[in-house]
Amino acid sequence: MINRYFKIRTLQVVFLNLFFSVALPTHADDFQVTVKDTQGGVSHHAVVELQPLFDDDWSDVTPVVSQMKQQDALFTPFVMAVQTNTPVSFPNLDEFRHQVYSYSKAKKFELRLYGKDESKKVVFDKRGIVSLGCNIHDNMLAYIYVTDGPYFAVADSKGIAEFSTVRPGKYQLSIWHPDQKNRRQNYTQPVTITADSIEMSATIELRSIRRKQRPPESDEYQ
Amino acid sequence: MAGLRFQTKLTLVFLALFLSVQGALLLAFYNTVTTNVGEQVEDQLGASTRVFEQIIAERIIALGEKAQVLARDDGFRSVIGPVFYSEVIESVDKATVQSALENFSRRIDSDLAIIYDLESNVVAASSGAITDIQQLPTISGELKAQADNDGVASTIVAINGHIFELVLVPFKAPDIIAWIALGIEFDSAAAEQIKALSPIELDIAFLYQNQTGYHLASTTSVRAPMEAFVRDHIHHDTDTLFRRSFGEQDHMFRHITLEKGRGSDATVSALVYFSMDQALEPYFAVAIALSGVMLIGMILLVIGSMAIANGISKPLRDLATASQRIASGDYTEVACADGNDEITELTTSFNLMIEAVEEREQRIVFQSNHDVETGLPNRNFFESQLKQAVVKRPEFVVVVAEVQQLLDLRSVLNHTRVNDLIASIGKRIGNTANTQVSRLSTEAFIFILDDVSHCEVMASLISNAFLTPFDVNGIAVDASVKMGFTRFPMDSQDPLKLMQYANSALDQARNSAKGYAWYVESNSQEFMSRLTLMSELREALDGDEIKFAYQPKRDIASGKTVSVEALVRWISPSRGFVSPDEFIPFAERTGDIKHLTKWGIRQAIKQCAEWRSKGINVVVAVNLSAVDLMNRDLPGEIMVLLQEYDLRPASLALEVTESAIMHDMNRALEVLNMLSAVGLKLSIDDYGTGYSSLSYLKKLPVSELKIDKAFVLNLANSEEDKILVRSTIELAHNLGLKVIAEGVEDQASVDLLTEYGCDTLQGYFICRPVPANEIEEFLAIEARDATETTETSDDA
Repeated sequence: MINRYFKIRTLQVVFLNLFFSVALPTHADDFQVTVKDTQGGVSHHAVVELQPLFDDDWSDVTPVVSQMKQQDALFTPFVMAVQTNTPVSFPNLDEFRHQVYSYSKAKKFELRLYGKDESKKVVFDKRGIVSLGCNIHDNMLAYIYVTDGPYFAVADSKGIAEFSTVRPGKYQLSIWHPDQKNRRQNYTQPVTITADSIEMSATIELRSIRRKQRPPESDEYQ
Repeated sequence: MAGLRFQTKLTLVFLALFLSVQGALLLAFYNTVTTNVGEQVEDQLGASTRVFEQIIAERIIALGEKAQVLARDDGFRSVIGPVFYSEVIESVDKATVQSALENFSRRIDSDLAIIYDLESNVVAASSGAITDIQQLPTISGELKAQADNDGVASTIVAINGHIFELVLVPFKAPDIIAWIALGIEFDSAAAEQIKALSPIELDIAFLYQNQTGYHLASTTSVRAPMEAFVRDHIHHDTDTLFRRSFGEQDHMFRHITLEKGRGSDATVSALVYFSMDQALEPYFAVAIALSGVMLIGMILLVIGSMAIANGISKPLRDLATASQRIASGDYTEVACADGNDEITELTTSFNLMIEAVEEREQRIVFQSNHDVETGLPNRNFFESQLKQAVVKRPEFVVVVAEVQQLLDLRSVLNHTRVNDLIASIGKRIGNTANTQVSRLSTEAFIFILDDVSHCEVMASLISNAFLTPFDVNGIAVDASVKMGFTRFPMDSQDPLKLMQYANSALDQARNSAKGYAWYVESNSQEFMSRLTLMSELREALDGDEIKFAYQPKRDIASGKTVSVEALVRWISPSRGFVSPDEFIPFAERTGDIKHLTKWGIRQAIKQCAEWRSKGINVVVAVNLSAVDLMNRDLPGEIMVLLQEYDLRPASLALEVTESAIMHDMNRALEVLNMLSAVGLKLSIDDYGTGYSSLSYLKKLPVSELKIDKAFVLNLANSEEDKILVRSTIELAHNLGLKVIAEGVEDQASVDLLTEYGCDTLQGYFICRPVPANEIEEFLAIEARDATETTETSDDA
C-alpha cells in the first residue's frame, strides 16, 4: 500500500487542487473524507457527496427529519445537507420573531413571522442549494444542500465528513462549499471505494472572504 | 546736488530721509502683513482642506449608508432577490429591477444608481446624465472585495467630464447575488455646498486627469476662466501648495488628490483655493490710512523744510546780494531781523564787516593820496591833480620846492619833530601860495601855480615866508627852500615830464642865489647825460672798466698794515678817468649804487681770498651807501659770498657814513645790527662832517670810528682841529671804539695822532690808493722794514 500511496502523491502533483489518499479500511461502513483548502486549512462546512456510479439499490434510504434552528439570531447549523423531499423544521428558540426566506431556485419560500417555539416545516423537494436568510436579521445566513443521492456528509470543524454506510464501488466524489472559488462548479473526483477503504482527503479552492453568519452584536436585537 | 539751491537741497534731503524711513516702515508692514496673511491663508487652507476631506468622507459615508439601506430593504430584496436566483433574467424582470432602482434612486436623491450582477455586468442603471451604458463605471475586484469585507466600499470616478463619488455595497438575499453602486456627482452645486460648510470663503474646483492632462469638472468659480487656469497651470502632481494669479487676483492654491486613478481610471483631484487679495482686504484700509498719513507727513515736511530753508536761505541770499553790492562799492548795511539766531548773528557780523571794510577803504584811499608822516597830500595825489589840470586849465606852472639842509636838521631834531617841521613847511608854502601843496619826496614839495605871470613874485613871497623860523615843539628852527619851475603847456604837456622838468629846474636852483630856477632844455640834457652815465656804469660793472684801488690802514701800535680800504676807480674807454664824486652821488639817487655795492663786495671778498691764499692777512674794507643800509637782504648776500670764498666774516670790514645812517636810522640800525651779528666789522666813515650826535653813536654796533680827513689834513697847523681830533679820539675810546684817521699826509700829523692815542692811520703819507699787486709789494716792503727796525732796535 506504500507504493500506491506514492502513486497518488505523484497524481497530486499533476492536479494541484486534488489530493486524496485511501488508507486500509477495516470495513466499508466506516468511511471518512478530510476536506482541506488550498490555503492549508481544513474546510469546515464543506458538503461531501458520494454519487454512486453503479446501480444502487440502497437509494430508498429513509429521509431523516432535520432541524434548522434559529437561536441567538443565528441559524444552526450553518450548512445542512438533506436528501430531496426531506421536511426540515425551523424551530425558533429566540424570544423574538424571525422571518426566514429563500429566493433560491431549489426552494423559494418565506416563513412569515413566527415566534418562540413555533416550528415551521418546509419540504425541500428539488435538488440544489438553498440560501436561507431572515428578513428581520440581516446577519443570519444558512445553507441547505439538497441532493437526490444517499451518501453525503457535512465536514465538521476539523474538515472531516464521515460516512456510516458506504458500499464499495465506483463513486463520483463531489464537494460543495459556500465559499468555493467557483460558485457554479463543484469539486468532483471519481473514486473507487473498496471494503478496505476507510478514509481519503480532498483539497478544494476557497475564496479569501468566507461566508459566515456573523453573530449579532451585543444587544443588537434585544 | 551741487548745483541745487540750498532750499531745494534741504527739502530733498529731508524728503529722502522721510521717504526712506517711511519706506522701511511700509516695507516692514507690507512684509509682516503679507507673510502673516500668507501663513494664515496657508493654515486656513490646510484646515479647510481637512474640513473639505472630512466633508467628502462624510458624504461618502452617508451615501454608503443609503446604499446599505437599499441593499437591505425588504421590499427591494423581495423584488430583486428572486430575479438573481433564476438562471436567466427575464426582460420583464430586468425592467422591474430598473424601475425599482430608479424609484429608489429618486427617493435617496442620488445622481447615479447601478446594479451589477456578480460578473460585474450592468443589470440596471439609473444614470441621469449618462445615457451610454458603456460609460458607466466598471467595478474592480478590489473594490468588490472591500465592499464584501466592510459592507461598503467607495471611490471617486470621472465619467464623461463629470465626477462622482461612488459607493458599492453587496446585495445579499441573503447570499451576495448582486452589487449596488450609488453615486453623487461633484457638480457645482455640491462644490457650493462644501464651500458653504468651510470656515473661510474658499473656492473649490474638481479636476480629473486623463491622458491629455488635467480637466475641470466643476467649480465654485466662473467656469471658463477656471477651465483655462487648469489647462495652463495644473500640470504637476497633486498635494501641493502654491500661489498663482487667477482672475487677476493672487490666490493660494491647494491641490488635493481625491482618488488616485488605477489603470485607465482617471485621477480625481480637487483644487481648494483662496484669494490672497481677499485675505489682504482688511489690511487695505490700514494701508490707505498709512498712505494718507505718509502723504500728509510728506506735505507737512515739504512745507516745513521749505519754511526752514527759506528762513536760512533768504537772509543768505540777502547777504549774497549785499556782498555783490559791497564788491561794487556800495556799503549800505543789510537789514537785520530781530532775534538771537545764527542768521541774526551772521548779519550783524556782516554789517560790522561792512563798516570795517568801508573804514579801511577810506583809510587806504586817504593813505594812497596822503603822506603818512605829515598828513600832506602825496605824490600820488599830485599826479592825479596834475592830470586833471592838464586837461582843465589852459596854462599853469608846476613848482618843486626842496627844503635845504634837511639832513642836518634831522641830526638835530628827532624823527617826529622833523615830520612836524615838514608839515609846517608844507602848510606855510600852501598858505603863502594859496594852493594845494603835496609832498613829493622826503624834503621836496610840489604844487601848481595858476598865475603864470606872477610866479617869480610868488617865489619871492615863499622865500620870504621862510624868514620867520618854524616853531617845532618849542624850538625855533630855521629852514629854507629852493624852487624849480616849469610851465604848462610851454615846456611839456605830459604830466610826468612836467614833474621831471620841475626837478631838473630844482637842480639848477640849488646852486642859484635867487633860490629858484626855471626849467631850460639844457638842464634836462645834463640830466639825461647823467642817466647815460648810469647806464654806462652798469655796463662798466659787467666789463672790466671798474677796479678797486686799495689804500693801506696802518696800525700805530704794531706799525703794520692790518687793513686796506677798497676805493672805486673807473677808467671809462670813452670818458677816461671818472671821479667817484661824479657818479656815486648820482648812482645813490638812481639806485644804481646797489649794483656797484654788489660788485664791490664780491670784488673785495675775492681779492681778500686771493691774498689769503698768498699768506697775506689783511682786512678789506668796503664803503656802503644809504641805499645799501635799506637792503635787509645785504647781510645774507654777504654771508653767501664769504662762504663761497671760504672766508671768515672778520676778513671783511664795512664803512658807513653818518649821513647814510641818518637817512632812515631805524631801518639802517636794523641792517647794521644784522651785519654786526654775523661778525662783520663796521666802522663810521667821515666822522665829524655831519651833525654827529653822541647819543646815537653808542647805539651803533660799530667798532671803529674814522675821523674825516677835513680835520686831519691841516692838523699840525690848526689848533681847532687838534682840539677836535684829540677830544674825538678820547670820546671814541671812552665809548670803546677804535679810532682811525684818514688824510694823514705828513709826519707832523703822524706824530700828533700818535700822541693823541689814535689807533690807525690812513693817508698819502702812508700810501696812496694802489692796485692790488702794488699792495702786495707795499706789504712786502713794510714787512722787510719792520724786520730791519727790529734788528736795529735789537742792535740798539
